[in-house]
Amino acid sequence: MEETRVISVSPDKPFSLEAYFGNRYALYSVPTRDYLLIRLKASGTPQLRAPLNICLVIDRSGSMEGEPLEYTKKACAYVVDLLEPDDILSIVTFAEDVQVVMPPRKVVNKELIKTHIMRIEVGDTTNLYDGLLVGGNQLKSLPLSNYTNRILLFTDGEPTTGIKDYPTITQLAGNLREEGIKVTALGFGLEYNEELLVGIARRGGGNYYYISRPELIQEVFRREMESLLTVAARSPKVKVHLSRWVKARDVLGYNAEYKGRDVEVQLVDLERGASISLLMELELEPRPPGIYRIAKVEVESDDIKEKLSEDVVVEFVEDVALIQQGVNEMVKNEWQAKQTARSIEKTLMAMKTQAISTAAAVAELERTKVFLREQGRLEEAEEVEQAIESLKKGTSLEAEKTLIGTIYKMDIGKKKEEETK
Amino acid sequence: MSEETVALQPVECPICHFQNPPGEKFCQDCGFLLGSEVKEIELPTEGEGVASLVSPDGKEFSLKKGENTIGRESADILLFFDKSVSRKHAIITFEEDRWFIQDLGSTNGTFLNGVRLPPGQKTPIYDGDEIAFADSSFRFVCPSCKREEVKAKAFILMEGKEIPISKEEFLIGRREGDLIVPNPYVSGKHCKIYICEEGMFIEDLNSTNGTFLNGEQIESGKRVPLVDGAIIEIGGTKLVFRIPHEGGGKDGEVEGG
Repeated sequence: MEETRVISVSPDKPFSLEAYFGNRYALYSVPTRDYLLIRLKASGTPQLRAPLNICLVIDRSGSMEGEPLEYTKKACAYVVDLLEPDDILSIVTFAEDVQVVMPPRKVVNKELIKTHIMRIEVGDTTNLYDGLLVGGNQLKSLPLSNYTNRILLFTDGEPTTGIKDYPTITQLAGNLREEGIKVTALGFGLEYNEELLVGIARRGGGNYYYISRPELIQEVFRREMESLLTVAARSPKVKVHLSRWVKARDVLGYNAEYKGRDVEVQLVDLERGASISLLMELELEPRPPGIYRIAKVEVESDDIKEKLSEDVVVEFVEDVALIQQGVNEMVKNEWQAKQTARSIEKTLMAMKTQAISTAAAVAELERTKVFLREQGRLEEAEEVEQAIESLKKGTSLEAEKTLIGTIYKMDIGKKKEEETK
Repeated sequence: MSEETVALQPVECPICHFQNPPGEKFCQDCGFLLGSEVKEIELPTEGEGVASLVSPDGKEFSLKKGENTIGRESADILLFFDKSVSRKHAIITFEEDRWFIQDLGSTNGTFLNGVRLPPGQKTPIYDGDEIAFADSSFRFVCPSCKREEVKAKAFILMEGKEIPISKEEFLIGRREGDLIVPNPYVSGKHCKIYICEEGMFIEDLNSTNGTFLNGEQIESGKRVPLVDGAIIEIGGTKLVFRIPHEGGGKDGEVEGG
């Protein structure tokens, strides 16, 4: 039987796979604990994209009256402008009840769709659960596998009508994700609960945004649309097959499924020019010296025909001195990033419980910001800077809503790669 | 035409002996780079003094030469999942080519072959010994440290377990001794069994609640002869004194039978 192995990655592959262990070497005689870094990197070059099937689920509760709703309508109209005739759009609004402003339609007659949008009127309370549910149903009326499916959930407040308990709502987002629909949560103003919205994004596999002012609504919709229009890998799934004498201890920031020697992790969508990094803690048991593949990493996605695969190889040696030479800086950096997320989380909790003064929180965040800059995580550093500004202005609620998004982004390991021109 | 030959036969991994299909670069089981150098070195699974603790479900904890602490927190062998294990429970050491276990004053005790060890006492352990840290039990595996075949001249049956008496003076007590009886009615040092040329005896060590032999209390401080099947009762715990019968062994110097 002949077996041909594809070694080179063809340049038109939408993304590449890299996998590194924290050290090239391990002592053969004692157990080794270190991290396995798995990184998916999407190239920056435009590709053919799958058509979008998106549903805008818009809060039209009483508090949206006036400027916020007007800006939201503009943002929705702007989304319409960004879509192509192959894309499908549906629009649902919720107050005390849910209205389907537009069932799923191809985006052909853009002006007609916009007149529908302009007719949206404010209601009273906030039935977020039913809004999300009805939004999901709109998407499900089409064969989901052909599209990039996404709900954009926009809200400015706490759920006040219908199902209000957070676990049930985030569970719904989780269920939608399992069916192939991701949920992005956009929070506007200071009244919504950021933990609920991040929970929805986390379970729903989408993004989280905090919008502080009505003028920014359109800009944030644009950012989300840009990420949707440049999805290079839909729902990439990582499978790590561990060799004998290797145990997986933990997967940071993600839920993993453990099946014997296989560990499977469902990642979020990957956009062009971005990367997702996953860290898995492994324990290597002692063994006779020699070169071993400790794990085989595979990635599947609807956007690639063949799985990508990488061998993770470690040399088990007798010489302790080699261990210091074998440290992989990339793995170390990524681990530090996860630690930074934890330290931001700690600051955030301390702020919420008023365990530290504003000045102390600012000092803490300043340190984090410098560290993020050093790490080349400029986007996150920028967000921390915003949070610092909010704190200085005395609006700690704003800071909390910003920081929770930073933590989420770092947990899922997503990072914009440097622009290559 | 390629000159490369592809092995048509399965390739056995030199490390884990897994039969790999032809064409594999790494062993499918242990991941060893097939065809690469196998270094001649003391293998961790064999070798002099290499030992491990194996749990009933097959989990193996290798022991390093030197000190191995066992406990629920920051120990070499971390039994964090078992709340009955103390934080610092016990220590297993390797000294002068022998393995020893020592209980560090744990709350729920360290047991060797079902018998609770007195805290602080270093006891040698041998291949196949059953070791339990409170509710977590393990088998001690060390192919190179088999128990020397010294036949115990006698043994004690306690709650269905055989405890060999391999010393001339064998102390029984609640706090210290070669046999610890966890019974509040047993004195710290309760009684002693002597195995010597003159025969086998038991002596009560001025215990609070006395030592009973076949139902009768024996006089404290006086050696009383023991015969096979004698029932020793201390603080309500029954011990049966047994002398193994010789099955035609060559070192048949035991006079019982």
